[in-house]
Amino acid sequence: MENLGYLAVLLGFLVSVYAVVAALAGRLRNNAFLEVSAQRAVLSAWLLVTAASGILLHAILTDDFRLSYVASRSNADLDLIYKFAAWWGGQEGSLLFWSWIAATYTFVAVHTGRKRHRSMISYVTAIMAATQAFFLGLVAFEANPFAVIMSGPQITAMPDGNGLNPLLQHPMMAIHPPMLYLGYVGFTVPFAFAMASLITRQPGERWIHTTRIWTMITWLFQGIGILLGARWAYVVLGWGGYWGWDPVENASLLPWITGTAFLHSVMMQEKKGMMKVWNIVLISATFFLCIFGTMMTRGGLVSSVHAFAESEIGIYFVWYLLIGVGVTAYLILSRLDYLKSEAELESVVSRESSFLFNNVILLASCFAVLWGTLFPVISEYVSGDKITVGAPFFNKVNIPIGLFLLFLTGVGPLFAWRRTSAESLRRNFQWPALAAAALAAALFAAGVRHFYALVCFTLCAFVAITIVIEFYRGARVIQARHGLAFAPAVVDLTHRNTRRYGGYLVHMAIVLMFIGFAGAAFNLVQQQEMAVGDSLTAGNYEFTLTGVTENDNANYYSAVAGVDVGKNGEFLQTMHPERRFYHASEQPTSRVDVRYRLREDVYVVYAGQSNDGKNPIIQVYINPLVNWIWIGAFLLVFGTLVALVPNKVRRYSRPRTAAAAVEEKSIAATNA
Amino acid sequence: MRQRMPSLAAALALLAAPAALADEMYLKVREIGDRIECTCGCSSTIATCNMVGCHVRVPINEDIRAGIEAGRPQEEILEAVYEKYGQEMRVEPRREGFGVVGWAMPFVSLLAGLAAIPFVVRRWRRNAREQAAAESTPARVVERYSEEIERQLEEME
Repeated sequence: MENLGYLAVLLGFLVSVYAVVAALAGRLRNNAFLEVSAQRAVLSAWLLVTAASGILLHAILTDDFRLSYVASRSNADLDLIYKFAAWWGGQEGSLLFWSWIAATYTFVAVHTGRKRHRSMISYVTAIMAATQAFFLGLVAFEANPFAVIMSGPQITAMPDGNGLNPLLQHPMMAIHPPMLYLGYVGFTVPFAFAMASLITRQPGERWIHTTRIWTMITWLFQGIGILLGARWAYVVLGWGGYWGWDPVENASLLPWITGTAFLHSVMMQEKKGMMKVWNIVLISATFFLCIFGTMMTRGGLVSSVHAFAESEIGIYFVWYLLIGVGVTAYLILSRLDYLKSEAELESVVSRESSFLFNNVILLASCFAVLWGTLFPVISEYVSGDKITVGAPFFNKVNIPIGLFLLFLTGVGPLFAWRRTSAESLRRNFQWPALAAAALAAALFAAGVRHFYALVCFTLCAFVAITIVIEFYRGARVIQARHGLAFAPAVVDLTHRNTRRYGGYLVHMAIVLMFIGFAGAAFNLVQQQEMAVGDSLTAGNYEFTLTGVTENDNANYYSAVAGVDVGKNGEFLQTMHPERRFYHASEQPTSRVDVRYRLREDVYVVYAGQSNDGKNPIIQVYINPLVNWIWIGAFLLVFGTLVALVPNKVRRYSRPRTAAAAVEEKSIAATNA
Repeated sequence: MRQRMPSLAAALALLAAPAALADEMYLKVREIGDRIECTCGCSSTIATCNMVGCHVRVPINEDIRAGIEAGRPQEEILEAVYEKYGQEMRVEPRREGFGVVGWAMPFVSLLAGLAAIPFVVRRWRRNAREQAAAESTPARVVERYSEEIERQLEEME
């Protein structure tokens, strides 16, 4: 079977290369036969990569430890869900998984866009198939997941596999990598459409719509992937945090930030025909940052706890990036006339300017993260001194930038296109600014002295109130016209302009997340060796060890502590942190127990055993407001999905009646 | 209004709660510890290392606490720790030599971006004036609206 799997990968690679050649030749020679042939090659490649993936999965699920990859990433007693996750648990399998997602995206993008974008679909095919071929080439020639460590009829028994890394044996880890990959790989689609439009000098803005929708979908996947990763770190790693500014974490954040900038600035192109060069640069940067991030994870450029083992494949990524960036830069520079802006700007105080600020801040944030991530490499090259750059640097640099961005989140949407009057400024900002100032004063009086936290809470209040007022004003107009209750009016308002109000929901999600981030300024942690009956105190909480229960199964041995938690003398609940020792990998790991509350989490870790092995060592964290991050995550997903729903009322359609025209005018006026 | 007061008070309490939780000495030790890489193999800082009885974290935390109690400034405490336990414990670029570039670059790029905005805006406005003077209705605008009309007609069909 493994030979068939490898053959499928090899054929998939060759068919993808054929798709590139056929698509380009067909387009350049105006040969429809070749163009259609390339589209069918895309389908064939997808079938071949699916077959190869199916064979690898079959080997993992049937414990075929003859395969080196299966033996090193799985074991017989691993739960089914984690056996499935072993597909992407190592370098070779994850590259095959990546290739399968790329093949799926290519197939879907080409077959849904071939009629709508007939004149440029062959270039889309070629660009996407080239990326797919690159990854399949790596699987075929550098990271073969079908390599065997033993074969032949004389083998009657095989040793058990090493098992999946215990830290990856968590339900979150079964979802987090696929989501992240859907984001990373997915950015190939908008990039391919953008490049194809550039090559063919597409007239009009139709391609922009397609690119934007694909960007939003992949941005959502990437965002979910990042947040699931943060959540996994929080509930699995046992250090009480969710983001450590690790190079691999940063690598996933970079394209998400540039993607965010693109989703904002693309509105300028759609509505005003402006920032065309900038948008092409942004979507290209997003795509290349995805490839760069993959190189960081797999190529050994920087050291990280998340990175796969160092390998020789980094150099292939360097070449891919050099060629890709070179060709893209040439295409942009050679078509500057096509990208000429239809510039019209009346005032600096306008929505157009706010988009510029937004993009500058986002890009500065992206650069700061990239700079900090690469600084150890740069400093070693320049001064011979390899300096570790950790969370403190990133926090110091990014917190002020992030707060400025939060401020713009509140201010930007309230500016009108072209020009914002002083009266409009006063009307829109008066109450949010007053309320935010009042909150700042109240918090200061209540004893909050942490500068950034104080600024963050104040700005959160400002932005949240501006968003609520936006919904309120619009809904009131609809209420007055249609006699609807307030809630249905809000739904109707959102449905009339899903992109705008979905965007507001995403902004609100960001506000909630910032509340959670600011809470970290007040985290508390305590650690103590505890015998049964011992207590420790953290803040207003008391923790008492009531007992330890031991269990053993085929996969791991575990010790579960019973910890009674009380607050101000009142019993709250018994918590059960766990320490596991996995037999196959011989690795220990902790399973934290968390008491989730909006105000603060109580986070208890069975950190280890005392030196004499008799008593557990219990660590407790009090993490204020952290749950608002996860609530914000749900709202971010919901808001993005709302933004993807088509509008109830077409923006360009003429109102059917005079009354409808008056109504739309009044909604527009309240939104201005 | 009277009914809304309890919920407002609850919201303020929710936000003010962290301040009540945090002990000042604890926060200071944690703030300094967050600028020191723990070298026990945990890949964390001294503030976030969760290794049991860590042989690196525990003595450093004691030194930090002693420094704070003696009223020494934060930077002095840090430098003493780096001097005593090793320069590899730095988690930030130094504030001298090439390290200055490390600190400055993100902010320089931000300032450069912000400084560029007025120029971009001025150029857009100038282009707009020139375009308006050259033609009453730009061809690109006409093209865009023509396409939109065509698209809507297609949809109507």
